Amino acid sequence: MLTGIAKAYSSRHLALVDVGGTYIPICKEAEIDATKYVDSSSKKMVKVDHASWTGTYAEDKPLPPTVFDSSVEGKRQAVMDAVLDYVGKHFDGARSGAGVFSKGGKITVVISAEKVNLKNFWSGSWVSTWVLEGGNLTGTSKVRAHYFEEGNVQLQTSKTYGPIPISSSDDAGVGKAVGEEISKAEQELHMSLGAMYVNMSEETLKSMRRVMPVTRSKMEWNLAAHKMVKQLHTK
Amino acid sequence: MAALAENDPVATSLNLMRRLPPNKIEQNLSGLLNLAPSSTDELLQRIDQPLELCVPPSPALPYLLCDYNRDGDSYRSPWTNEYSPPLSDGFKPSARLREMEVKANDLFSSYRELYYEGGVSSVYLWDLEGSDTGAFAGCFLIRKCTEGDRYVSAGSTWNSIHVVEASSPSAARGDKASYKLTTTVMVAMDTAGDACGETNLSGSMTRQSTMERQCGPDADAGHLANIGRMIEDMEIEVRSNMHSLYLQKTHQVVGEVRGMG
Repeated sequence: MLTGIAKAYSSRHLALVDVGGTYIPICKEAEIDATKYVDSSSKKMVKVDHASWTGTYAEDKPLPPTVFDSSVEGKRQAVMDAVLDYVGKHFDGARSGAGVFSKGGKITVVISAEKVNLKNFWSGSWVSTWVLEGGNLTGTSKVRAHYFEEGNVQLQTSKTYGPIPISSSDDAGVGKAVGEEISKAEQELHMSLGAMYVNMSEETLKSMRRVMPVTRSKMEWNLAAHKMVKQLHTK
Repeated sequence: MAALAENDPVATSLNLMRRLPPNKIEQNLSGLLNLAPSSTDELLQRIDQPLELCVPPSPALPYLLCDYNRDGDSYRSPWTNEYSPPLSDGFKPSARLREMEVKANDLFSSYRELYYEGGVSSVYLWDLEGSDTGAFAGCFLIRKCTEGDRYVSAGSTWNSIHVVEASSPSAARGDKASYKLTTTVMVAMDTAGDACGETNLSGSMTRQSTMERQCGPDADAGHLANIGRMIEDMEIEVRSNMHSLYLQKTHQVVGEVRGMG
């Protein structure tokens, strides 16, 4: 039962499975059966232990021929290369992995990254799903950040992108364009979050509670003083 | 706080609440109460929830709802000392304490106006049992709702929950009263606009402090002044930490996961 719960959790959160140092995301597109998934980068089958988030390559087992859509394999490979390049550039400091899958002419990209530092009471993750279908690219990113030293504060972001038209016709061009659009859109989200945080310190928290009263001095905790002030105001 | 065994349902519930999304406290608490119904009273007492507001028909003043002014399904207004829905035998503070409670609400309302320029505050006091007949406890609450700005939507909230235990001045400690304060501040913000998609930044932080101080000739007025200053100092620190340690920290965490490149 624990395995079932772990699998359901992983699929929903695109959790990463450690395959001897390489990470692959758990998602329905990668699933061959309940415990076998495809590593779309190496095109190998992985036997997964959901409860421990680890996996091993099943070298002796060939991939079923229908795992990928052969009619778009060139495009899928080009997108895979571009996505791995993007992930390498931006998620190098975290545990990260990506998968690019194809079915019925549709190409699906899954990016998953997470970093956990329990000793310092924080953890965070950034997972994205992008779909290229009929010449249009759409996507979603979910970002989570958690800090819990003597408290519990969480950022949760869910952002949808597109549709963004991808006009290239040759495989290499499609791969390059998809990589660029993904990179641009996610960078914009990251920068918008930054602007939000700046604004929060300047405007939002101040509108919740002033740092100091207008009088620039602390409160006089004396009922008589306040009664006098109230009476003055009501005159 | 009594030590809790590791597989005690209250201990594990508190552990879970520390990790579950802070913007879903009511749902999570409800789920936990379903799983451990026999721990309901203790969990309701220990787990801070965002404060709910009761706005009675004008000219009655609004007040905040929490476990400390609740009796069954009714809540006591700190302004009228009456329960709503009405209760014939609802729990009320003693006469002496009610007098202090009225002054406390007045003072705390002035404090709220100084720092929050709006919002609602409520103070509820209760007598403590034991040999010290002057000992009492109370909760001092503030809820502020924002009007929103470019990035953060209206309806974002700040909740202050201060619980104080006070003992009478005692010759054994130089005629000083002693106070223990536990403060929880909960903040919830949703973004406006689309640049960040749907973003929620919520959280709480808890701090404790203790103090010993004399009360002067008017003990009750002295208590209120001492407690007021303790709460004010605590809120100044919490606000500063809430911004730098807690909110900004989550920004840093995002940067640890994804580099700007």
